[in-house]
Amino acid sequence: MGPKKRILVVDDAAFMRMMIRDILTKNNFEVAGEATNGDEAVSKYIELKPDLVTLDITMPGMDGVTVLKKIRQHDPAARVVMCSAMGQQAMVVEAIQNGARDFINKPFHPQKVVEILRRALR
Amino acid sequence: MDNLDLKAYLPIFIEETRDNIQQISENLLRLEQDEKDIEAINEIFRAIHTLKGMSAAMGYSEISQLAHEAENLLDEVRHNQAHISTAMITGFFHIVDEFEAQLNSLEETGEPQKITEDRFQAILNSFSQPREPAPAEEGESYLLEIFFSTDCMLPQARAMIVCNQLNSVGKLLRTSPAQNLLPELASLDKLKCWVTDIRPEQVRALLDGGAEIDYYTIEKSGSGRDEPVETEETEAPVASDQEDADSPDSRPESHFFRHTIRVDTEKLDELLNLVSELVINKTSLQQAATTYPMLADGVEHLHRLTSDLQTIVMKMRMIPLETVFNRFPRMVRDTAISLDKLVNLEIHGAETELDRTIIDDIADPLVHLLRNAIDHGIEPVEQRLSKGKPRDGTVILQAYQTGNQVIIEVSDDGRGLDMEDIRAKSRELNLLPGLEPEGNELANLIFTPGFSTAENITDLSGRGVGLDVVKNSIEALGGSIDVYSRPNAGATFKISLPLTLAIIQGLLVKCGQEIYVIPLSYVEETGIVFPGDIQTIGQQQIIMLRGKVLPIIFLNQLLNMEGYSAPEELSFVVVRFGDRQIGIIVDDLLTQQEIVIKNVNWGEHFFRSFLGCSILGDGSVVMILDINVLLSVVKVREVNHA
Amino acid sequence: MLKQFVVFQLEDELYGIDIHQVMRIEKMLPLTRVPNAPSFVIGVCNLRGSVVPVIDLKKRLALPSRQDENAKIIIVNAGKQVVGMTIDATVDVSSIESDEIEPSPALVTGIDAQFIQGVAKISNRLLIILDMERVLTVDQFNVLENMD
Repeated sequence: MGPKKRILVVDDAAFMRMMIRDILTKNNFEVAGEATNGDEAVSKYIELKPDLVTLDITMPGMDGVTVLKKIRQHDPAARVVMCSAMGQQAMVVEAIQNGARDFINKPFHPQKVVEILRRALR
Repeated sequence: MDNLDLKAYLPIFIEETRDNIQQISENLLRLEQDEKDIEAINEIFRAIHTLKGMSAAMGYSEISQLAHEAENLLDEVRHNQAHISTAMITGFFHIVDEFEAQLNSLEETGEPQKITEDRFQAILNSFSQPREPAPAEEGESYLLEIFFSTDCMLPQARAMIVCNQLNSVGKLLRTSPAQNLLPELASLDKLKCWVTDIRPEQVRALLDGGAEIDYYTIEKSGSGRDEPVETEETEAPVASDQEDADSPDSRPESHFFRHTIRVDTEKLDELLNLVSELVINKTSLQQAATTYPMLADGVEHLHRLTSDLQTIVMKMRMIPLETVFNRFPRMVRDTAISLDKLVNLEIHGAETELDRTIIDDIADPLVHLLRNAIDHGIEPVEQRLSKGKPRDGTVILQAYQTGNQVIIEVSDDGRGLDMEDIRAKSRELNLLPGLEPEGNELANLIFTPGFSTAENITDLSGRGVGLDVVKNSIEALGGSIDVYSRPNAGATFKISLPLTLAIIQGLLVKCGQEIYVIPLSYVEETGIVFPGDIQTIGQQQIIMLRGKVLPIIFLNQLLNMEGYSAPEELSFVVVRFGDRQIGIIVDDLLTQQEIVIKNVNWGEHFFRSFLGCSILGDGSVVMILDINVLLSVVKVREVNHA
Repeated sequence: MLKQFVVFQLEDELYGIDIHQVMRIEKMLPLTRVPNAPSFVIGVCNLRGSVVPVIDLKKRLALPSRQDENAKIIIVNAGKQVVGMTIDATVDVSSIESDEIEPSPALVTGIDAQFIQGVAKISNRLLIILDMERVLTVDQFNVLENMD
């Protein structure tokens, strides 16, 4: 097994960030950093150069899809996995059309999250 | 969700799609006028996009695919990669036609029509620019069938990811449902992919271990493109509910703010029937109240409530003429092009409302009149120019309400009617023996059966159907039609229609032992007359009314009554039909009241003298006279003061 | 297959109508004359709030017609048209095996063959089964009969 993959966790809810962090750390990922809004996410991405970003699709201010576009503008190879809730099909679809690698649905099933992130990191 | 649930959306799908098609047509016409009309392009784009999303949600992948192609073409226009030509507009109209055909099929059978590959190509080929050739394929290709597990969230998004992944490793040739439709689907359980330039183990590496994918199959395939278009998928993508079915931008926002609901027209008819029953019962209670005064207050209140209720129900049944008018710009355009004429159609008063039973039947006569105007009215360009007229002919379609009638006029600025032709023809047919009609009376002879002359039968307006058929259909609606001609300045066809067919104000008259209803809308005045006042001028019986001559006719003669003997005092009812007036002589005037028209759907031509029947408060049936039809057999001449 | 027919009498013959086409049988109802209609249309009646045309079935079938005090109106619904027809008297409802119904040309009856769907025997009498769609189709009928 190679070095731990470094993940940037973006979510405006502290609870969600904590949950993802728990799942990640228990499964041999490294949380490179956390961001609570879009601007922060973009600057942290540039600063930290993580292997993957988990990006909440709805956040106050800049929404997830816009953040995704900005990140991929900066780094077209960026691996981004969207975190969405039920009923956000249109946004998920838009994100995928804009280069998101995959998406995970809230509420999170740790097994599934891990599986999806591993696949996205291939 | 099973198919039954989807069917529930079908009526609203059809209705909204019709709206969208209408939008597309209207804006295509705008675009034809001004190819730089960005707003029109955007409107078409929006409508097509909505149509695409909605048909995908309903599982009509072929309609959706067609919409997608149209959208692509339009996108080229939007990005200045193609320019608007007549051929292009015609091409779009072909797509519109196909949408319409699909809707008709949906309406009739509940299923869309299959669009064959040939048909599809034919439609696309009608655009001037050649379509992109299919990219060449290399190497081995495979057919993947991927089944998503039932607990897979957003399988359509999952499918898109699979497509992206396959494309990043190999080359994705085609998918079913088509890749571009995936975002619009509400659900999906199976995706077929034809891929090439990829090894099976690479596919496995991509797909294995995904819990969302139940299982997948992979097999060698000849060529993705040659695979027949699968039809079974049309059942798979179904709307889970309206919210999900529509992407957020696919409906105009106003839909959410308009406080209207859609009601099945059958329910409206049912409601009207119930109200009609109520009106009949109210009438019998009113009669009872004359005997039992204690009922009077209650009955009066009931009367007010009933008439309010009736007004509301009638209003609910009214639809703007727009629904009929809005297909005419396209028709006029096509007709004008096929006749090589330049015609502008002006529409005024499309917001005028009519009962929907009338609206349904007014379209065909109007089509006939419009075609007639373009074909016979508007002159070819050279002729117009030589007459000093504007190059483009103008046809005006105008509607307005006056009293309880709606008037629809079709006017053109063409050559007008050839009065000498009409005179010759009427002599030839011996229409008015011994009479020499002039002006409007002469012009109106064109509505006589058999009048259409060989010269003016073209494949467009002729069709072996004359203006008498137009007149008949208008009269069947309780309306009338007249023509006014201005030599070299054009002709105007004026149609008068009753606002509603269902409940009218009627005058009850007695003739012999029988009671009949004359619709009040025809009645100008009534009075008493004695047999001695009746004179005969030529063959026409007349009475003098305020110093003017009024031609009269006895109702018993119109109705072939046997054993009738006139009482000592008679009544007359002056009715207007078209531009003429006549007095109908009856025994007695009984009362004026609301009449609920009940149609007899059998042997219509036997009941032609009547608008329908009605049931009176005492349960008896009365016949409602159709003044237009009854009097059309009577040749009344304006009689000059002798 | 067993089929059921409403059987009634016109003059001396028995006629049958498929029971599915019969809505109800009424005693004679007050009629309103329809001027300018063919003579076999004897009027319209108020049938529980809807107006139903009534034809004299004997006249329609070109049989000699005379007034009968016991006349009844049989309300039929064929091809979405509800029409009443006067008949002399109802007899019964009879069940007949469909293979016992013979096509009409084999027999000679007093009425136009186009109105006959078939014939069958019941208790040694001939039953003429009417083709209601034909009886009620008036388009072909000579409209001129009534024109003056």
